[in-house]
Amino acid sequence: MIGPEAIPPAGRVLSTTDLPLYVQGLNVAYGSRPVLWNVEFSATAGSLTAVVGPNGAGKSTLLRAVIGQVPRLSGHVRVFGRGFEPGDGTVAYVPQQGIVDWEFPASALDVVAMGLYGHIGWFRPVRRRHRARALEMLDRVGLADSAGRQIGQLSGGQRQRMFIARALAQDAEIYLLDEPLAGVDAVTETRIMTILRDLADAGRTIVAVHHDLETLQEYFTHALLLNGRVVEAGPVGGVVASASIDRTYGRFATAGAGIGAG
Amino acid sequence: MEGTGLAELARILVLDAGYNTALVMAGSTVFGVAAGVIGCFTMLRRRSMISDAISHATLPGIALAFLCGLAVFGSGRNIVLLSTGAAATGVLGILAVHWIRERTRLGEDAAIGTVLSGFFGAGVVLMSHVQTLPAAGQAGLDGFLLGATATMTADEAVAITVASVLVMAATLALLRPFAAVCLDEHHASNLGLAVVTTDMVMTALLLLVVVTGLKTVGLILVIALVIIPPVTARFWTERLGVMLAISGLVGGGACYAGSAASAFWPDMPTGAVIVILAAMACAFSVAVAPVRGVVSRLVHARRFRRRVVLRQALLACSRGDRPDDDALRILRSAGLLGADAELTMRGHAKAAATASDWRLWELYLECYPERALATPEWGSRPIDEVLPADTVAELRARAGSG
Repeated sequence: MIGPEAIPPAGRVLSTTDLPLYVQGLNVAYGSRPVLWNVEFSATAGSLTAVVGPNGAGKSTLLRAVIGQVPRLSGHVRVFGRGFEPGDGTVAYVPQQGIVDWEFPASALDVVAMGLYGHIGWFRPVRRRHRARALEMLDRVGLADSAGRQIGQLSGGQRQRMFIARALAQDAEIYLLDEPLAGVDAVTETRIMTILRDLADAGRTIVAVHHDLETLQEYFTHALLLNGRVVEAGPVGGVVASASIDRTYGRFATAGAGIGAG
Repeated sequence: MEGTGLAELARILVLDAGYNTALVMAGSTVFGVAAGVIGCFTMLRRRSMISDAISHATLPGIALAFLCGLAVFGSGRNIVLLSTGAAATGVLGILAVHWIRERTRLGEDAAIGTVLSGFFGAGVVLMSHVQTLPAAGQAGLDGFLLGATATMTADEAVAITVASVLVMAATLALLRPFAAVCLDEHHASNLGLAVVTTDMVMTALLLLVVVTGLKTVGLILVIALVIIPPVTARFWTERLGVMLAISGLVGGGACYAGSAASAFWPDMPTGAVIVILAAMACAFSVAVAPVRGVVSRLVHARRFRRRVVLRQALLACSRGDRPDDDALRILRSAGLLGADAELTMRGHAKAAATASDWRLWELYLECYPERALATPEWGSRPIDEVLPADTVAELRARAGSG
């Protein structure tokens, strides 16, 4: 079945230098519980990809494995054909809420200015022009009025927008967002999606964990269906039209319908 | 000389070196067990550090009690009096930590650090005043800092034993409320348990243990005996009952050996010896405990990674893809790849078996994603080694009918 001729020579697989983000054979486990099984996906410039899947599907883990915050069992992550380098400013990551110390003595502006540390350097002062740029980013997310407030005093939606402003300040090529729309009101949701769409229109690459299947097609250009492994990935229209969403969430099992041939 | 030394040590160890020594060792050992037992709950309640605030807060109390005793009875050296003083300022320390935590936005660590150093500073000042007094008996007070079982009297040993047995009995009697509060205080409160009172009782028992241990381990190191034994025990078991037993054993064992050493070398600070022994038991457990130990985890992680890569290599082969170099190396070392970079007969069979097994795993993921994703080792082993037989049978039936 597998002869030498059936095994193609090494090196053929990767012609991925143009792709902003390419993940291959990614395996992640917590202890001996696999979380991501042989995940492969890519994101093109100007695309808005939703990572969709049930609880525990590894959505957050995928984003964190891409930026090296979670150890990989095996597999590769290629950013424009190279390995990921933390601190080179290509990838901005917006974590889920609650990981931050909200008691920390910092204003919204301070936090957004931290997004510029990659450009400023760790040991050089934050100058007026940097603060002006941070304020500009806060303005872009409609938060300029709250720039001086201690972060704990911001509402849930404002916190989320502050994180997005911090990522914007990084001026990255790739934006990874972990549930950017969780717990925000409708107005904020629209505002955040407008910002993300503008970024994509400017040729940036957006990958976001998303929960609302209703808005999937409206908000995103691509979808990655995940439940431990990639069930399907591609342009959002095709993914929604296929039966893959059911196969991701296991709905037919609870509905008692039969199983289609895998 | 050497021989008589060993014989003496042996007599100490079998509690045959005099009534007083035997009593002191028994008292210390019982105290160690009590500390290990209550320590489990303070650790599980994430309150271990409060014991450090308590113990340091006892120092001004000890000094004040000594001064009071001196003024009233003409002598301050009475274990009950000193312990009462220690407990009194210990309680003040607890209240101070509690107040800072509740009334300010500071975390408990900052509160404990502030209270600990403030009370200890006050205690050191009072102690140096006591040292300047011509009164007899203050020499023994040093022992409260680092522990000195060699100078312990029979009465003190009896008091320690009684208090320790009391703590142990109370802890075991309150096993269920304590466990319920540590696991899920909201649920416990829902069941009608007074969570605040339970916490107060737990802290009171901790206070009692700390005060009891002052003479044995000393206030600087008494925290070690409520932390190290439970930490050590946690490496060996996933069950509370076993954890309590091991923790008590480690605490009791360290105190037994430490007080024996102290009887043999009277100048040694008993507390330090006890803590070193407990820490050695802990280090040993961290390294070699099955499942949770460092070595075991490393070995396990390596094996697990290899299994995952091997399975995916076999799956890639069965799809006609080429596995990457790392995977090829593992295939080869598993004897599934011949010298010609071709799967062996056994490799082919294994690839086919893995592929059909993986189809069942995929089906499980599709049918019950949340259950599947929460299953340890899903996908990384043959499905019938992981899931119950009836589930596998159901999946086989579905796969067949599909």
